[in-house]
Amino acid sequence: MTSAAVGPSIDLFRDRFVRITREVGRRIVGHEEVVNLTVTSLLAGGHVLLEGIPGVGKTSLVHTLADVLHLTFSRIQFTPDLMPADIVGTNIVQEHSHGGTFFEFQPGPIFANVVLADEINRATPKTQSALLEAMQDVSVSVGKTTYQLEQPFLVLATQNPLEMEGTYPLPEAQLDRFFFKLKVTYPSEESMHEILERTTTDSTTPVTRVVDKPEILEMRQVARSIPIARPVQAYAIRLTLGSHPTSPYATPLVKRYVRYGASPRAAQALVLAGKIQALNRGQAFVSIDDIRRVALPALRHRLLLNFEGEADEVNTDTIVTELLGSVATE
Amino acid sequence: MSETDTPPGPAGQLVRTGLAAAFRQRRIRESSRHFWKAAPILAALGLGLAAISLWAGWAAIPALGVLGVGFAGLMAYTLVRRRARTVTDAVAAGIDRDADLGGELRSAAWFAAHDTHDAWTDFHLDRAAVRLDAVNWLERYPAVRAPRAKLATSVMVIAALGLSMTMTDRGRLSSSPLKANAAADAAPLVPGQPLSPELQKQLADLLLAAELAGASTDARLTASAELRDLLAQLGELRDSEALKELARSMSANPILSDQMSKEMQALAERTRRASETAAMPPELRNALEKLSDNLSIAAAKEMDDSNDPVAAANAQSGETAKSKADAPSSASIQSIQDADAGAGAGMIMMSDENATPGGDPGLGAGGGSAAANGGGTMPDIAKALRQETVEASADSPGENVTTDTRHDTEHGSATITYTQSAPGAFDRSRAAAPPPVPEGRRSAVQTYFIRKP
Repeated sequence: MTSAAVGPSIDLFRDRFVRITREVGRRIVGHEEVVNLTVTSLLAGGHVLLEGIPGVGKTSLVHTLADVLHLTFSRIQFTPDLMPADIVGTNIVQEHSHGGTFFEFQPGPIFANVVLADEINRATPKTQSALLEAMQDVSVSVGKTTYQLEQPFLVLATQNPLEMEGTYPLPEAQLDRFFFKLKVTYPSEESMHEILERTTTDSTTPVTRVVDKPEILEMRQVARSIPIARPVQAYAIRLTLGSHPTSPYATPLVKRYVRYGASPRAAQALVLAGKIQALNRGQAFVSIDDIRRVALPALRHRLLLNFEGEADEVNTDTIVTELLGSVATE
Repeated sequence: MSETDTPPGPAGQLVRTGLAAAFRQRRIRESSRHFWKAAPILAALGLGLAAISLWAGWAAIPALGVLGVGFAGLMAYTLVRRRARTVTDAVAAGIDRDADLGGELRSAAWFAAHDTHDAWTDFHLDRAAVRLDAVNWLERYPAVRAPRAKLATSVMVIAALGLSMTMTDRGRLSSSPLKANAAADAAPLVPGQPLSPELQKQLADLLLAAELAGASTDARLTASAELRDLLAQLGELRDSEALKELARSMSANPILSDQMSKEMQALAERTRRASETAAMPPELRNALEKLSDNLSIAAAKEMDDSNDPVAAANAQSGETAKSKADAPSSASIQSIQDADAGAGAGMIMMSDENATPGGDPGLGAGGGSAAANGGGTMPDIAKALRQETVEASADSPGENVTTDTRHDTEHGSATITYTQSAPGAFDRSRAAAPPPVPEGRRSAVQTYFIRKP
């Protein structure tokens, strides 16, 4: 690629990004930031944990996104009796026409481009862990065979923050594999009007497929090509290190309430998401503001609170916000 | 995408050049801003120092020095701040923020300063160079106007220089009596010449003004300043050799001598009274007091010399003091009134260094001994103060108080009467300063009467 081709590729990226978010927005009222960051995560190759009370449109968002992106979609409703084989698939015994039997792998619902793991915290840790390999390596292992999942692969998990009885909080290892944790908030009064007008009338809002699989993969490649200056990258690293209580960049809240800070995956998420944000602005460079814009969804689920933090019901958003305010940008 | 290690291309050079130009403009603005923040403070400091120097009678050097060194330092700081420096990431970030370039300039500055670049970096640098070129740095970093700071600095510097020049003129005049003022021009004070009538009149007028100007601060300051000038001219009267010359010259003219001695005695008295004016600055009071002493000595010498030509002749040989010691009438009498002393606390000390061993030794250090007076514990004081009188204050004695105490005895009753002196009330209006003590003996007198802890 020459420098002359960079400009058009940036424009194309931006155009596709805008088309995706605009098309999703035709069905999903409000939540522009959630849609934007979900698409960002998809283009960065990450997965998203959606948290919100029931009925705010989490599942609709995932459905709509799959439709707009022209990707295969599957939904897994996590329950306490859900088994790993129910997710990744299993070998079943088949009979040859001429007699005899053999095992044949029956793929589970994980074999899709967009997987909705609904109420993921209702399944047991054993079942939740079935997603670990798929989310990290985009592959699943059944028996002695490893099956590659098709790219793009995006897991959108939802969880209800209210009902904690009978749930199994996600282990830190799994939480760390989510690129972003997005909070789907209650819609505003104006948005409620729009939701009711769209869902309680005879008319339906169809969405069109604006991009396809190759285009998404191309966008991913473009996103990784954008350069990032060392000082900006250093800021992302300082933010990540600052979430550790023993770090020199740690803030008072971090020192008091955090047991373990964010992993290097957080820094990767910050930089990658920052690059996509920059492209979305039509720029060929990553700025400090791009990093700061994605810091909250990239860090909030990666902070492990200590006992005092849990007892005081400290919100990790508060800690990250303080971190953003104290870590030097220069 | 290819990645090379060649030096930055033209876009990188443009970014570097543009950033350096912006940094230079920023440095100029920042240094100018600092300069005009500090300059009024410095000028105010110089002006204040000049005013204090003028009031205290100091030389103009400190004020001028502060101004000169301060502004030279400020200029040096400004030049140092303006010198070319490396554009760091913090500098690039600051300029980027000032120009509202959204981090593009900061990122481009880093890539332009490093060798690694590719198509994306080149594209980034190209765009950054274009945006950088579009920025008018003269508008972003305009020259510092600071009209009020400039005006205030100019006014204060001019005022400080004016005050300093005034001080310099005064210093020059004090070192050259011929140029003191118009009166001094008419009658310059030269050792060996009598105090001119013009100078006496001027001194008398100024003393009168100083005495009457107690209510008005401005008038007092004016009178004090003029008195300082005049005292600076009369400073050489403190010189004993000059006084001798003055006495000799006055004794040579009997007619003028008699008149001048009276006038100078009167002038000395007025000067002494003026020195007791509380409204005057302390140093001025001291100067007036010394002048009064000098004038008294000059007048006394002139009077003695006119009555005793031999003494006048001796004065030329430096034996005046010894010849006068034989005359009791010429002895210096010191009267110390202790207003706070208790009732009846009075003491008279007289000494005569020529008293015979069998005669009345008088009082004083070493008195009553076979040795000559003056050979006691403080012979220098006894020698200096040939005759001294310490009197109790006339205010001190109170009325006698008689107390009768009656009590029964075996034979009846008895009455015992005690008589004591009640503490007297101090009338400050009656307090008067003691007669002047000659300058040469002042330190000894002060030491003698100071109560040791």
